Amino acid sequence: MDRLVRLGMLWSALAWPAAATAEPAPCPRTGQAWVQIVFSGPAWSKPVQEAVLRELRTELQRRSLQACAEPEGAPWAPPQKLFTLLASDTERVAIVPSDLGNEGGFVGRTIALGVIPEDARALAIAQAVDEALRSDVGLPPEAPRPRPAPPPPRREPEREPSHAAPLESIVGVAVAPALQVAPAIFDGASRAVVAPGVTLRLAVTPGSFGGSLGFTVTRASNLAFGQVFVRQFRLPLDMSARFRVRSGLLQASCDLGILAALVDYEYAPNGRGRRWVEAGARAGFSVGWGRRLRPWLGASIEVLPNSTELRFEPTGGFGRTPKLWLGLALGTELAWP
Amino acid sequence: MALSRLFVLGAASLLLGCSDEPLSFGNDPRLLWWTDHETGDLSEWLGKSGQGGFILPGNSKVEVVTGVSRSGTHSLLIQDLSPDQRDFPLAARNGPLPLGVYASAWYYLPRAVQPTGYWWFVLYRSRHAPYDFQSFRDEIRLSFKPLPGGRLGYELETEELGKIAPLVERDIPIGSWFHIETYLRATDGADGELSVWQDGEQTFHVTGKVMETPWAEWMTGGVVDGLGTDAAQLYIDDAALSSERVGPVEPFTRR
Repeated sequence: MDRLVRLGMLWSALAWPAAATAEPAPCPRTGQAWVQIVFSGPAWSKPVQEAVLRELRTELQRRSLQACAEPEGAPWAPPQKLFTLLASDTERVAIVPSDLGNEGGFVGRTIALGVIPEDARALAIAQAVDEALRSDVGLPPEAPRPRPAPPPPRREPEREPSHAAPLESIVGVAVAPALQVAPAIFDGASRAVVAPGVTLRLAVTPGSFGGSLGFTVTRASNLAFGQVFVRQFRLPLDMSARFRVRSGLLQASCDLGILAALVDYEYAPNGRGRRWVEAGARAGFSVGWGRRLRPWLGASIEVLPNSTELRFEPTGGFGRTPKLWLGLALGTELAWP
Repeated sequence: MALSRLFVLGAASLLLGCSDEPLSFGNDPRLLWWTDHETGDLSEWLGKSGQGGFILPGNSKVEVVTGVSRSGTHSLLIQDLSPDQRDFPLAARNGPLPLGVYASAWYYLPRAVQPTGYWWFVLYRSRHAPYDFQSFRDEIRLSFKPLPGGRLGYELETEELGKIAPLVERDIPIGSWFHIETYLRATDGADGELSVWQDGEQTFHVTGKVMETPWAEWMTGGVVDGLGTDAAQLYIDDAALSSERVGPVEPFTRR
């Protein structure tokens, strides 16, 4: 019985929006100023048109304006403005402030949609129309000329737009206390190396993909080879490609890139040692929560294919430098915008 | 700009794999003394560090030679040239050795030796008051021992404890290098200790009073009572005294 009730409630919830939109109010309503939007071009679908109108109505409502497509019957008054939205393909939309049939040449504004997530395109188009509407003539003088008039819009089935938050372009600076650990699996090691430090990472992520640059300063620590201790200092710097996903305030990032680490190894009893650059690869994963100021937790793995043999005279090699470093960081990221 | 250079260097190193040059930290801190004979003479046996050493050729020959070596091009050749009489061609490091000391060397027999009774190739000698030239006792001896079938083994005997039973019996290889390392803790009391390893495997272990006095010196080469064959040779290379066990490491190198 409970199951039937729940099913009924679910059906009601799903059916409600359809029922609510079954009989739309006439547009334009008598006595209210209005703007006409004409959708032109083969790339429009009905759901996208409706989404654009819905977003535009939200924008214009604040200024007591209506946004309508084709008026049903004779409108009570001519529109204050008429915008034709040309979409010859799915990558761009041209906003033209006139009726194509009455003017031979005009300028318009083009929005490149390719870089905008699909579920955010309607809002972007609506905002662009609103901006054009608010300007005197509605258009920048240097705007490019639109393409010739496309054939009439063709209605195509399209999936419902989702309501996930768009991935805005961000620049982030993250700083965190970090712990770098070299497990005791390198040649000759008698115990793991643990080096505390601080990590700093700059990331630029225009969409889902971007890049990051990070480095870590760690405290000098000892590599233990039985009774022999070699002091090591390490300054790893990496340049990585970043993949980002976000759900609400939760954001996860994966980095994959190359690594160059300035290293210094010294045998303390006689002060002998050397400094050089180790090269390798780094993969990192981090999870953050928030928008501008985002706490985050990150883990990383650094692989250095060229381990260096450590030797004494005359007995030869007693160990090698680590090939693997694991990292853990817990800190804060400041993001723009 | 500096970061760019660092990355270019890093990327180039990653691609070319050229950062693998060994890093040497100088002398192994475990070693109290060592020689690989690459000086071409006996100087490192006679000096170099610690108390120095000495060479006893007896009626035979002790010399640094080329042609057969474990590391580099030189080794120490012990030749018993008097098979019909007792002889003692050997090289030694002076005492007193530190309490708890490891002595090791690599040995090479071009053919099996056939001592009449013994060929001590490792010997610890103690000295006692008044510590003059005559005041010593040959305490601990590792001696080659012919085995049936033309094989060769070795045995351990001490003045204080007599013959020591081996933990494991190992043959002495003919025509290839083998490593013998000993640990001696010679005390006045019963807390002494003696261990032997061949090629990293422990073959003897005994505790108790192992020497008359703690004043010990290490000798290697040959104290031979006689031979059933003509002159015999034993090559020695990469010898060391150390505070920790060295084990059968790779051939000695100088950088």
